[in-house]
Amino acid sequence: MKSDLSKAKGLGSAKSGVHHWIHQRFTALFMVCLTLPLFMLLWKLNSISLEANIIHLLRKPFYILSYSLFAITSIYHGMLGMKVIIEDYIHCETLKLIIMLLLQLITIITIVAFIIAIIYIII
Amino acid sequence: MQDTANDLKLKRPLSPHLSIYKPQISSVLSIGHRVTGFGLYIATILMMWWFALWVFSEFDSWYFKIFDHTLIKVIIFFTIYGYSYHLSTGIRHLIWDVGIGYDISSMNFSGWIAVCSSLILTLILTYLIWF
Repeated sequence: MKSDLSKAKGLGSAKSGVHHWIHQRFTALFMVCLTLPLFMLLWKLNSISLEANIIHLLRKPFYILSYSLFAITSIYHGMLGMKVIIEDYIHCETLKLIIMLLLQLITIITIVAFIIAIIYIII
Repeated sequence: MQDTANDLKLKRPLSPHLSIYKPQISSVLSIGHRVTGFGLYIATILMMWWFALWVFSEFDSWYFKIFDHTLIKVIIFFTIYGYSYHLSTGIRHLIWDVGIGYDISSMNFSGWIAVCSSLILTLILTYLIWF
């Protein structure tokens, strides 16, 4: 994903530009659309007392999809935001790189653990 | 500008910035958006791990008993407020991205709308989750 100007002038030292910005806005918009299903899930969860019923509720496609889509989109959106924060406040290049890689590693491990838990619930 | 070793050695003074600038609806909402974003990232990581560990532990009841603790309730409440705030100011950002509302008076007005909407959303979500 490149803007026309970047195709003409080439990319600067960041090696990427509008790609990050578009993904951040797109995931944000997606999550705004997901707020209604999310609220429905929270409302439904509130009326359930037994844990077995929670698992039964989560097995329904609407609820498992809205939950997992929201969680994964939000952690990806959060990772993009954290990238901006790190770039803004940490000036030492080595430390910036280490923290960025560590954050991305933590994010990816969390996403994988979450997906495995979702699969575990469905099966 | 990188902090060079020479600058640090000479200890040149800096004119005051954050300590003297009057907080305004623009700056306060902007830094609040960043701070809530940071806090929500931590909260989302914790929430996803809470869910994953609950499933992996064969649905141990401890994972639901912790919600009786006051500290956890306080953390949940602040997460709800952070989410409502970030959602309201985020929609304000998305509206700017389309190109609407860039002048100062619109920005002040939308800023106060965002603050009110964050409080209303917090009340709605707290009701949805706890009552």
